[in-house]
Amino acid sequence: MRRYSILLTLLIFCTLGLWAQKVTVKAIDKPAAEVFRSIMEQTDKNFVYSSDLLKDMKITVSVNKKPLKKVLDEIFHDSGIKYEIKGNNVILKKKKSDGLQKKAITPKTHTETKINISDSVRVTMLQPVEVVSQSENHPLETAKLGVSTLGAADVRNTPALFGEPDLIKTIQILPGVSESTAGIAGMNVHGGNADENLYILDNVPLYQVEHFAGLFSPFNTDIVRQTDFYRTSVPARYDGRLSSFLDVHLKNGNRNGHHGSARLGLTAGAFNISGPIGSKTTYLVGLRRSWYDVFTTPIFAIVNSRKTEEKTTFQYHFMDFNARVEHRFSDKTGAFISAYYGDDLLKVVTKDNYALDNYYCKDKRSFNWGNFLIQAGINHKFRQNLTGEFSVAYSRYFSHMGYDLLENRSSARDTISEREKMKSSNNINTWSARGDFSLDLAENARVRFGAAYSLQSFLPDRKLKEFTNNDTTLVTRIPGEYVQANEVDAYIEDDWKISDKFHAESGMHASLFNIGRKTKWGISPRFSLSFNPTSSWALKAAYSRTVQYVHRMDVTYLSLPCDRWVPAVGDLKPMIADKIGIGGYWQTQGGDYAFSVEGYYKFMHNLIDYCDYYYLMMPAGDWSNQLTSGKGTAKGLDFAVEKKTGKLTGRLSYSLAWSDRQFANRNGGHPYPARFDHRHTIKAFLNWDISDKVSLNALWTGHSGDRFTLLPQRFEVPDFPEEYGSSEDAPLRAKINNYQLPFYHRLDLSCTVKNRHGYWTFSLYNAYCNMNTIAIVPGNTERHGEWVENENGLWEFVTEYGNPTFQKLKLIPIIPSVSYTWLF
Amino acid sequence: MAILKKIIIASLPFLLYGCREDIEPLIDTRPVLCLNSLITAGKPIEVSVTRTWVYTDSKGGNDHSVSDAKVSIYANGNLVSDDYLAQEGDIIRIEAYSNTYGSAWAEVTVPVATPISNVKYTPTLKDLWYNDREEWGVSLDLTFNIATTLSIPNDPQANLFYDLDFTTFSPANEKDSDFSDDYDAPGELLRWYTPPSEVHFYGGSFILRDPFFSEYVGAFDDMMDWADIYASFFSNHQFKGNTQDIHVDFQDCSFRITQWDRNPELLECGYVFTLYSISESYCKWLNYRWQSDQSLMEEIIDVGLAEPIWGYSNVSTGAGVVAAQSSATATLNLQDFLFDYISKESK
Repeated sequence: MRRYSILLTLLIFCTLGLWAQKVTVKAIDKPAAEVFRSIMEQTDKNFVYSSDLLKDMKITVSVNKKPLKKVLDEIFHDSGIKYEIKGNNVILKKKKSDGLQKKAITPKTHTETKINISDSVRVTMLQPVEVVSQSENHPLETAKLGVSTLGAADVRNTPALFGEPDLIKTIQILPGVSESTAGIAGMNVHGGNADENLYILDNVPLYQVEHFAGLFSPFNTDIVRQTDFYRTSVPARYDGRLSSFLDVHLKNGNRNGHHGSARLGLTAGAFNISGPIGSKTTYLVGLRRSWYDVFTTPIFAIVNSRKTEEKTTFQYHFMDFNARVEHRFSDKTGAFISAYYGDDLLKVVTKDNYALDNYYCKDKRSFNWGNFLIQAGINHKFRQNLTGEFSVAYSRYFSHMGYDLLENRSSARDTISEREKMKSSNNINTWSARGDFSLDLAENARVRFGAAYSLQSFLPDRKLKEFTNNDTTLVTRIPGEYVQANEVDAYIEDDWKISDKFHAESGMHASLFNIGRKTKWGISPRFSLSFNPTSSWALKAAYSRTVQYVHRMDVTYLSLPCDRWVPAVGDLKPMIADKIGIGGYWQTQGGDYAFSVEGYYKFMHNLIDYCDYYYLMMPAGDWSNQLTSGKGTAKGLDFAVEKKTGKLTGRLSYSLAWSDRQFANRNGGHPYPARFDHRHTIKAFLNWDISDKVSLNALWTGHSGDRFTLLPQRFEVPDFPEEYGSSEDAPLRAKINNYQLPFYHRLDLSCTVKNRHGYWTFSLYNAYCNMNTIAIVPGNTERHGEWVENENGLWEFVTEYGNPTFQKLKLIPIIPSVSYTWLF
Repeated sequence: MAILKKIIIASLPFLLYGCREDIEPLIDTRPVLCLNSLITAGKPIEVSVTRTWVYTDSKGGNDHSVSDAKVSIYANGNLVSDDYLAQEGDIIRIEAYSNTYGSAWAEVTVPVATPISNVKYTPTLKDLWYNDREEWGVSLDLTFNIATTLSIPNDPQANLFYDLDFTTFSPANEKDSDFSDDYDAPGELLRWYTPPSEVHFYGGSFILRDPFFSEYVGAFDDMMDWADIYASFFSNHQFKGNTQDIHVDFQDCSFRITQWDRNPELLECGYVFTLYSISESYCKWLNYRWQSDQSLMEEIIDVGLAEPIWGYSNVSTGAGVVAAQSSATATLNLQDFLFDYISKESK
């Protein structure tokens, strides 16, 4: 199997051809950012520049099918700006000792700057425009550690399961980030748990970030402009989770015309379009939806058409819908309104209709869980150096499960009608308002500050059951109660380039969390310092504290609708993490190669987890008594080597890490290694641009196996009177995570082939089909069965079970997939 | 819903394409003592002492006995002899020691029985008809539902755990099991002896709809019909006030009487309810058995997608359960209800 997989991989690679690529762009007095977007969408290059470098700069240019370098030469000729192409990045800098430099960056002057380039004119907008400004997070430019900024191209170039580009899968290839069980769900950052990562969509936190039990994230990558990911140094404007912050920004609406894309893959399809509404307004709409039900609905219809008495329908889908409208009132003032809805829906209906027996039964069961959010905001430039944004938002996380069972039986004497309904709810409603400001104190110093208020309403669990027998109705309920919380946050952070060699960023985030009659608070200081001995070296140190008031209780490794988000109520204290990090960064003179090493030590306090025997606590609806508090540590080193230029680019990283936990009422109070205590992790990512039209990507991941609780011993069960349970023995308790699963490794490959109208993506997940072990489970050696003649002369089939053994449970083989994206 | 259950069970491993491979994990194990005992108020205390074994140890067979164990039983801190009768409220501590497997101990309080202070019932007649059963004579058949309410006192300050049980009773048809004289006659069909009056009572299927009967059932289990079998243990954590009603519904009960001679004693049938006050350890053990046998969790654990759960134990070694119980009973006699209908019909 493995041999065929490798052959298939090679075959796909060898059949691909080479094409050349050129740039076509036309702009008349257009903002520089828009011109760069147009170039980027044709070349997949990111433009990297200081935010103030291109303020109000406008460009007039008209080129047709020219090499990128020539186009850039023409654009920046006499502009006071120089550029460097490093890998996928076009880095823009001010020219030193150039009189035009000030012209270019001084607003009053460079609003007048025009660069005229003539050529034959033909505009081709191949795909949605995108501009990435990475300068703030470039390792040599920023004081922060452990920060990454990803553009749409990064996501597109990452091999993904079922060919579905996935933002979280892209994040997982970064050093210090572990994927959860077999890449199925979530991520663990620097030894943290999966619920310690904050996912923010245009400034609003999302709770449900996994579709299909965790196989897919809810971000429609076709409309994501940029993603900032913070795992060590965290700007003070973020708080609320311990481990990481993933800030996802959607694209701005296209001002030049109505453009978009449509994608069809093996599991889902996506469509997005954006464009102008008049001269000052733009819109963006994106929809992604799985299409399993396109198969299942007709299949079940065909099967049901052949049946008269028993009919079943099965439906599952996940979807994400995004919409955003922006309006510019003036050069200084703009406004936006955006909405997101994403959910998973599983519905099963069975109908039994036995006319002869006068029996009818309809059973409908459904699961529906997801997020809804809507927000509106206004941004304004108060002064040349002061901008602000005010926004209000409503978000709702919901999870509903329910069934409706109707049964009618009739006879000559009577008719019995029974109906049983159950509805279980778990949701969080949040109203929030926030204001954020940015003040440029000087060319080398900027301050950000802001405040937010949110009213959160938690309903961790509510169950209602209703039984109706003819005219009698009996209602029972597990009375879940709404828990309301008021949260106030304020922050201030500054970014100060002290000198050419020193750069500091510091900040403070303060939060109050009022719940019940108790108010909890957190002060989260942040500090990062960078020392650049030379232009190619940086040494950094950072400290950050993060505070988390909500926690996800999940009992499986999957993302299921029965997972519950619960706040820190009663005597539970907010979870706190103190993290210290140091790092060293070096890149070669031309920026072709970069090397980095980052070390961290994280102390976690007031962690919350299930206690031993939590599932036996009575009643199950009272969730707070199932929890226990504790502490944990995580420490490690992340090494990375990157090749950034040329047709072959990539990154090789190695992480050495430790992570442990200790809770008062878990594992008997003894410390134990965390489940994702991966001592060694190696990731190799390669991107080979064979031509302008064909690129190949390979990702190899290998890490120490997950920690696993193996229960090797058994004890005899008591001989008590009881109605259930047939096993004569039960597993004896053991230390939590006492066993390490075998080394995990996997190779993913993908190939992107562009054509005139879009591009194909072919991918192989787990290309050499190494089925990794996810658990050790008790089992039996192979069963043996044979026909035996018994003492009465009758033949019977006798099955003999083999000896009890432990068995590796291995999941997920090679998965090929293909998708096509049409750009218009 | 069986289909959903099947889909989940089938899809979990299928979607992810699982396969298994034998492995001998290297992990340090040491057998320990296992204590099991159910202490019942008013009865002597029996303790089972065994040892744990490695799951893959097929050589040991089923012999997990411990030959050198010494067991000591303490009641309220005093060493007692093996004929000691446990009393309600006793704190019983059991200690065991073996040279080979070390020591183990467990402690439990014998609960005080909670009386059933009142039993009410509401019958609903569903059907009544005569049935000509030829040589057995003409019988009168009734089908009905019974909704019962048991009232018990409650102490809101205490953590109390219960297990509810019931049995049915009916007039003894002593001749039911007799055969006719020609039982052995060759060529003759077997024939039941027909008594002058034959009574048959079937107690129906019971339904426990109070929420505290299913408080251990997660919504996910409810959805999957993993909660088909509701257990009868519960706690007082959701009780409000000093008394609590427990509702037990019996559906599709039936009563048949043949050739009634108007003897009201033949109508004496009904239910005997036994309310066991059980220790927390017993309740948790019952819950564990339910979870490991009925819950969806076990299915998910089997395919490696959830952390394994171990058997409940309140013994220091983690092996075995020492539990305690006491009980109170109450009787519900349906004689009046049956007499009203049957005498009316027989006029």
